[in-house]
Amino acid sequence: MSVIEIRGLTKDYGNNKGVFDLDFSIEEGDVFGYLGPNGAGKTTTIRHLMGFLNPDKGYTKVLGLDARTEAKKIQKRVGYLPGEIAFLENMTGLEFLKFMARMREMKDLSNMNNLIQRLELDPKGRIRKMSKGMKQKVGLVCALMDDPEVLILDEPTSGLDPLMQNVFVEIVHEEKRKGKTILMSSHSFEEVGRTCNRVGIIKDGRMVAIEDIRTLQEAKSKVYHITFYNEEELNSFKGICKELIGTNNSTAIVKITGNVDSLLKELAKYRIRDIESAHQSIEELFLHYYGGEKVD
Amino acid sequence: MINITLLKQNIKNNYKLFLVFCGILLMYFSIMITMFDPEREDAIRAMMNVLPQEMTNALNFNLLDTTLIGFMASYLYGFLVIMFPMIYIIIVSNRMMAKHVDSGSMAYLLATPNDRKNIALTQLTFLAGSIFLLIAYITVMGYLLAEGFFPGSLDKKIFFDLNLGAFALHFAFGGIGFLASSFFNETKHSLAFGGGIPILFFLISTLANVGGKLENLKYGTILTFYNNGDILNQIQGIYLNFSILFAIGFICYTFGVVIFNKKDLSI
Repeated sequence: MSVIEIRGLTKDYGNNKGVFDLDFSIEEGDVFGYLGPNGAGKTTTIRHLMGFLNPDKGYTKVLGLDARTEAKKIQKRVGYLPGEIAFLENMTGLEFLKFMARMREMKDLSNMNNLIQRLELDPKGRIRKMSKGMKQKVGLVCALMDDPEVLILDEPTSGLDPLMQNVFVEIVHEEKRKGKTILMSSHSFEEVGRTCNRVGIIKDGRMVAIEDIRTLQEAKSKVYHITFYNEEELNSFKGICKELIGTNNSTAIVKITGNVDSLLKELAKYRIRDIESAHQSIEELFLHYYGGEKVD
Repeated sequence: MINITLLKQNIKNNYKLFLVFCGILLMYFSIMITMFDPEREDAIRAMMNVLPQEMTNALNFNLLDTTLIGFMASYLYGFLVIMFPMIYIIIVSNRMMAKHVDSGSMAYLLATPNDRKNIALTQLTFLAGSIFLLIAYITVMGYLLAEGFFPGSLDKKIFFDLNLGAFALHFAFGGIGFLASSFFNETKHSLAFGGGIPILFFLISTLANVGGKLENLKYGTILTFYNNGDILNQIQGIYLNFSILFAIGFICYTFGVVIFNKKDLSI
């Protein structure tokens, strides 16, 4: 049985906004990255999973239960991080977390305290006065503290500094080892690449690809800026390298798709001052993955 | 069916507002009751006589009779007991549902093992319960003040009916506010309808009280079911009127829960 099942899900907001004929499932133990640019329909999908929206067509099931009608039974087993940060008014972080723990009828708060420490959250301050990152930590503790079987996280790392992003990645890995099923949305391929084993790419409300992360990583091209010791070395490299897309003084710009092994072996013959990789945006990944065709 | 944790949280968030209204009402009640003088023409009546008749009519400040209960029915239950709880209800009913949806905090409430019906019923319970408490407070406070200043002169039966009617009226206002709060996703719309309709009813009844042709306006407001003159004279139809107000409230609360249970929540 799939933990999350989405069949023919359509929610049409007009103007091509919404989601259309979404059809995918997430199996137990999967960490599924839900990737897409802003406004692609990630949050709309997640709201259906949480039972907040009524589908125009199709259905969504979580743990075999209808997300819309059996939300109550589902929620006890699901941890949710909303994409928009909004808590109850006039509460401190700790008051809010304790309130949520009581709402969930949680007995044991040790997991909550543990997460507060790990995420270096200062829970004593008023939530309203907290920075965006702090608020995000409150949301994360809230989603994770009840040790749920399923995690639905809408842009979990937004607002977190790189150090905290690393802590988050660690936590996701631990949860994965515990056999949790995780769906996390993101607009960063790098983030998804570090945590997920499967990726779904959504664009304009339609799923354009569902792939194993390795397949995507292989399909993804990377651009390297390689600075040689001098121009002579660069010139001799230029003769051999087929993936060269430009040069700049003694720097070669190389675009590699998939395996970098052969490039590295070739470079070993030269004296290199510096090598830098330039990140690729989702849009570029789309274009590459679909051979430059426009996806609609 | 209701969630005690959430109910407690509502109490924590709203008790200050409740106390402010209790304080305002206490102030007005004590000022007004001490102005009553059974022997002579009381100070307030002299003051009202200076104003044009239409205006005292409109404010429902027409002295119905010269007893203490007649005095209270006119000056307290004709205006203050309608207006102040109404403002409280408008503020709180908007807070109960629409504010959580507008701000997005409803997402957290619904991400707990409580379905929409549980949440809506909890919020409804708090709203209706606090309306009951506010009127109960007014009843006890009014009784104590009246007995304190003028022992033995208060007609208890009429006084109870005035408060029962006030509760019925505010129960209906609460229903309207709750329905608007459950229906709309934005507080500005919830306030416009949940607050606008009771205020409109109030204004229509003010105009209807002026009399003449405008009297027919009384068919356009639910305040007609709460007539302090009829209660004072113990007209037979008053309990039927109160039941109609309770029924309006009950229908609105039910629709509020049903609509909230069905609608799309962009949270």
